Amino acid sequence: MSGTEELGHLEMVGTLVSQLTKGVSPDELKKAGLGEYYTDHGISVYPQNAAGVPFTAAYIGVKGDPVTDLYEDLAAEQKARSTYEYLIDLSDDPDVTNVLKFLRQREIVHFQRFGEALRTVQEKLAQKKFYMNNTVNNMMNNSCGIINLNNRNHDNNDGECGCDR
Amino acid sequence: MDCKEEKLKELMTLDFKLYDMQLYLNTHPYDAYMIESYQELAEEAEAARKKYEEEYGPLKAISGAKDCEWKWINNPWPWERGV
Repeated sequence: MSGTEELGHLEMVGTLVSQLTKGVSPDELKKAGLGEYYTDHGISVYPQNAAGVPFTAAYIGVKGDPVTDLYEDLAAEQKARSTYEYLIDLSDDPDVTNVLKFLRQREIVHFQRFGEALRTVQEKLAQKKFYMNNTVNNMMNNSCGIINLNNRNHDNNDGECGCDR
Repeated sequence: MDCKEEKLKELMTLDFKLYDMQLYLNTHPYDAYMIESYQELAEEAEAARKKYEEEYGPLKAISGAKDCEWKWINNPWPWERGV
């Protein structure tokens, strides 16, 4: 859901750039340090970073592990917040700064929500889990028919059946 | 800001509130007070959307489907405003 909102942010920033460059001459663009940009893209909006490196899917991290992926999301929100703050430092136009401030707030809200999601996942993972065991595992692990996976690889696993006592 | 733009901004404000509540409810699904507020606001937004569309035309391509002419492309794009 936050991802959909981020695509909206891309549109808002694109709109901002489009409005700022409307009717600006190539000479003015060159003076503003946008000569290279003009050469490659005219005054159209092209997704690239401040150093001119185009956006690619390689910037998106997905690992398939909920904890790993949520930390990735949390880091991404903070990186976005920092970037907006640097942009606000650079801006002297209130019409630009107000949009950037709004976007910065949104990244903070996302960070909050992702943090809550991470806490939910961690609480779930910390719960004691009980599995009904099949015969093969019974023979391999213990004789009580239940294993507590939380005790695996932990110091308190004293080599006994590992079920919750 | 003309009347149309003002009404649109009101609607966008309602939609934004709803969206932010959705994010909150994702991690607080048992917050009864928030769910109730969400339902109330959703109704308000729906009524405002209907009223706006009756007066000023479709907000989404799909909501203009009942008309006999293609109106969706008549309005300026968001980035064409306020320049």
